[in-house]
Parts: sequence; C-alpha cells; structure tokens
Amino acid sequence: MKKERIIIDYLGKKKNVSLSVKKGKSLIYILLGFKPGDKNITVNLNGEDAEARILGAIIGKNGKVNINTFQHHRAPNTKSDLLINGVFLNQTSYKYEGLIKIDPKAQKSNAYQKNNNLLLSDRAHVDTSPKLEILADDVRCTHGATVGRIDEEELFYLMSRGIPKKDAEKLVISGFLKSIVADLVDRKIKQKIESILEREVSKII
Amino acid sequence: MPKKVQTKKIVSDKYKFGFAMPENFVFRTRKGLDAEVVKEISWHKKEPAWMTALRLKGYEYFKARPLPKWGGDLSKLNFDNIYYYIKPTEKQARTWQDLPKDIKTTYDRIGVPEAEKNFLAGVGAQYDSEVVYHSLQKELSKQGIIFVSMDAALRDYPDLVKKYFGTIIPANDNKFAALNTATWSGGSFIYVPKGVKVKLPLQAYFRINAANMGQFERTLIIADEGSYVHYVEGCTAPIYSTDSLHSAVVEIVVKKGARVRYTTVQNWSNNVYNLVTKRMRVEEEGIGEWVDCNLGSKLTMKYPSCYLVGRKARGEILSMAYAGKGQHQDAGGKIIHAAPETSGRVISKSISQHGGRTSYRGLLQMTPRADQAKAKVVCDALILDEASRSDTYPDMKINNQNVQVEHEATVSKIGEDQLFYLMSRGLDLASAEALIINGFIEPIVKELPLEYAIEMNRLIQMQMEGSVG
Repeated sequence: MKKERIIIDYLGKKKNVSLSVKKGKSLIYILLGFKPGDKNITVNLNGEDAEARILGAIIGKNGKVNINTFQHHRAPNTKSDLLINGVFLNQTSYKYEGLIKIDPKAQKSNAYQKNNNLLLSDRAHVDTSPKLEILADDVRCTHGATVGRIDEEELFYLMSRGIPKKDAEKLVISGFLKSIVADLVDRKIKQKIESILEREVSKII
Repeated sequence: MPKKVQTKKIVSDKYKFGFAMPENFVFRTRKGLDAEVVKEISWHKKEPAWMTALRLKGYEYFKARPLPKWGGDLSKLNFDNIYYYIKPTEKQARTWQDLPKDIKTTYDRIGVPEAEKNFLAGVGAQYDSEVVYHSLQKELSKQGIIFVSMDAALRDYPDLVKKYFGTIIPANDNKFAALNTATWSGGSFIYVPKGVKVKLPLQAYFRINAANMGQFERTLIIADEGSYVHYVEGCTAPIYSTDSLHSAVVEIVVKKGARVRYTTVQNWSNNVYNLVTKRMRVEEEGIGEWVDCNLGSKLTMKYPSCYLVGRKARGEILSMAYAGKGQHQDAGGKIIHAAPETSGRVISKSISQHGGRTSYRGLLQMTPRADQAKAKVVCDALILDEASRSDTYPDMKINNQNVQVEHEATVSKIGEDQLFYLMSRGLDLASAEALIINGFIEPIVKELPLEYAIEMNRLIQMQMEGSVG
C-alpha cells in the first residue's frame, strides 16, 4: 500500500492551495467549510502513477462560498477523485467550478469529479459547473453534479420508525456530508472528520 | 485476430456533397457589410419600412458587440471577405422542373425530390440566400397550415410576422443574432393552427453554393394550442479553400399543449463557420424538442435552448456531434425552467477523431418559480485517437430548493473489453468498432427520420470500408 499524505483544510483559511503529487505518491486533501470564504484548489499529478483525492464537506449558513478545483493530469497512469458535498441554508450563495484537464501525454489516466448539493432554503443559490478538458484518448473520465432538497422518502422512512422529524433531518444531512469519508482507510482521521461534521450539523438543526 | 493493429478511419472524413455548381446568380451585394448593403438587401426584397429599420438596428448591434471570447476560435473569420446576399434565381419555383438546371441537379444529387415523394409533407429548398423551391401538400394548406419562406411570410402574413419576429431572440441577443437580423434572407415560416397535428415532417434543405458566401436564414415556427409539427433541416455546401459563414436564427413558439420537434442534420463542408442561435418558448404543458446532429462545418457554435415558461412544460435536447480533422464542434443546449413542474432533459453524444475537437457547453437554470421542476443532463464522449480532444462545460444555476437536478458526463475511448468481446466472436476490428460507435449514437439516431437514420449509419459503415480504400 502506498503511504498516503492527508491534508485537512478549512474554508476561511488561505485562499489558494496548490498541491503536487510526485511519481508513485498518493495524496488526500480534505476541505471542511462552515463559514463563508473562497478556496482555489489545484492538484497537479506530476509523476507516473500519482494519485489524489479531493474531498469536501460544506455547510453554507450565510454569505458566499466560492470553490474552484483543478485536477491537472500531467503524467501517464495518474488517478484523481473528487467528491464535494454541500448543504446550503438561508441566503447562501454557492459557486463551484471544477476542471479536470488531461494533458496529451497523460495516457491511461482516470479522473472522477462529483459535486452534490442539498438546498435547505428557498433563498439559497447554487451555481455548479464541473468541466472536463480531455486531450488524451486512452483515459476514463466521469463527472457529475446534483442539486436537490432532502429526499422526502428518506425522511418518511426514518419518521415511520418513530424518529422525530428534526432528528431524521439531522441523520439524513449528516449522513450526506459524512459520506465523503466513507471509504477513507485511515480510521482515526475518518472518525475525527465524522465527529466534526456531526457537531456542525447539530448547530444548524 | 489481426496480428498488427493498424490505425484506420473509423468515421469517414470523405465528404460526398462537396461538389460545386457555376455561380449563375441574378444579383448579389458587394463583398463586406455596411449600412448601405443592409439597405440594399431590404430594398431588393421590397420590405416594409419597419423591417428595414429593424435590420439597421441589428447592424448597429452587430457592430457594437465584440466577438465572444469563449467557445471556438473565431479570429480567422473575416467579415469583410463575405458576400452577404446572393440571389440565385428570379423567382421561386413550385415544381423542380421549373428550377434552373444547375440548381435542380444539385438537389437531385442531394436526393431532395426523391425524399419529398416518399417521406415528407412539405419541402423548402434554399440555395445561397433565397428559397428557390417550396411545396406543401394540399390537404395541409386546407387545414390552415402555413409553410412558406420567411420572405413570402413577410409579404403575405405581415401581421403574424410582425407579432412574433424577434420576440424569442431579440436583435441584440448576441453578435450573430444581430448579424442575422441585419442580413437575414430565406428560412421558413410555419404556422400550425389550434389542434392540428402534422403527421409527416416538414423539411427544409439549405445549400450554400457560392464561395465566400454568408447564409443567414431566419426561421419562425408558431405551433398554436394543442398542435404538433416536426420540422427537419439538412445543410450541405461545396468544399472551397476559403471560408463561408452560416449564421441562422430560429425562433419557435410552442403554445399551450402543443409539441414541436426540430431536427437538424448539419453536414456543412469543412470550410463553413456555423454560428447559429436557436430558441423555443414552451408554454403550459407544451413540449419542445431539439434533435441536433452536427457532423460538418469548420467550427460550429450552437446551443439550442428551451425556455419553459408554462406549468408542466417540457424541454428536450438531443445533441450529437462528430469532429474530424480541422473541425471543432462546440455544441450543447440550454434549458431555462421558469415555471413550476417543468421538466428538462439533455442527452449529448460526441465523437472526435483525427485531431478533431468536440465540446459540450450547456446551461441549466432553475428560477425561483420552478417549484417541483426536474432536469437531467447526460453527456458522453468518445475519443478515437490521441490527436483528438473532448471538453465538457456544463453550468447549473439553481435558485430554487424544490427541484431535482442531475448532471453526468463521461469521456473515454472505445473500451478494450468491448472490442475484445466482439472480436472473440469473430468480428474484425473495424466491424467491432463500427458496431460500438453505432450503439453509442443509437439513442440519438433512433429519433431521426428514417432516411436520415439510414444515412447516418451508412456514413459510419462507409469508413470501415475506408480502411481498405
């Protein structure tokens, strides 16, 4: 197993983050956001077999959140995986722009990008734009984005089992946010992130 | 299995409509564009004063607007090296025999008269700037359906034209819509009365024959309450070493409960800039559908859009793009949800090879009024060799909590496992690739009228043979 470098960062801290992953190395970057702010994240996969994961959990309570991500595959056989889940309340305005770029020489690369958003308010505004620029042919790239509100059926399921509505909502929202670390191997960090998210979710519901 | 895998043409770059006829026009404006040329076009068409004024306004907007900085490379497009109006014949023909010989031969070779006999309810054929042929089945005109060239509509139905012209796409919408407003000529005007359903498609064929030609057709379709119409357009041009420009505007009004399907099979030659604005407004419980296939042109920038303004309106965009050598297809679609319970779907399939570039560019917008609206976008791209490129630029603007929005996209080459599976069953590499590509575009091709679907499949088959000759 590759030794993984894990970085935990917060919205509101330094705006621009640029990371490079060398040949055969692996990196996990986790972004947590509980207040307004901007973040530009660039991950350069510079060497063969480099791997990176970008994970994010955002709770927007007010103000503006701007996140830009750039997964740049510059060497063959590299892999990147991005998952950012966000929950937005009140009049929060959220703008996400993500780009995956695969250079011509970065053959046999794999890239993923997913941005899921839950709107908890009628006045919240989400603008998401996940982009791909693929200049090599022997690659596989997938991206996706979703925007919606809490699934009524999930709530109903929980409530039909006797869980009060508020708790049910809390469960669904924290489950949604915690899913970003669902397959993190490092158990200690996984638990740490989960408990942070749980605490933050109780603040909003 | 073949011992060595040779690179071969999977999709043919051969262009079979590249022939040109002598330029026997009866009138053309001088090269380039200024207010005088705009006035000359209008004067030549004996237009009412309001249209001349609108054209001049369009020209002012065109001059004032910068070229778009996004999308394809427009830096080599030279507006001064283009003829903005070329009139090919003195009058419109009602039978193919009445057309000048060169023009008739052109349409025979494209196969229009034959298709008219077999599949179509009405045909319009535009040659350079003017619609040279028009027909509509008698029963349809008895039902009150109007299907004429835009110029004829301005002459014969001035009130209808004035009421809707430029209301869906205003003169100042974008640089190329402004250019079209100034220089438009030809195109179709369709009115379908309440409750009338047109069973067979109406079709228009657009042909650019002259070199350095600018074709600016203008189409307006009004589908009254509960009606249905399917409009199909095909486009071809000769291959010249200099560039031509095609910049159309298509406005469609889909009234309550009506349904309009607009199918495009764009197969311009590789020297045509294709910069088109297409938009429909869909009212309550109406359905608007774009089936948009882009195979030809040097650069296409075209994003057909649906404005869903009535409750339960539905918009659908099926987009297919192929880019070969020297081609850039920047295509996609926009759906604006401006009413409750509206639904939208975009499916895009693109293929690039031989250094071609395909880009999907789309917008999905949920306004505060779009309660319970749903939208889904799926984009798939195939890249067939390492010289080619594929991009995806979607944008989702969500201003409403009670909506469901999904977007997904994939880019890949043809899967080795899929090829291996087919080849292990005895198919050679070329046939296996053809089968996979046909399967890939099938969701779009199956929506095409039969003769086009056959043509599309043949195009892909042809290239397989390309590996031999």
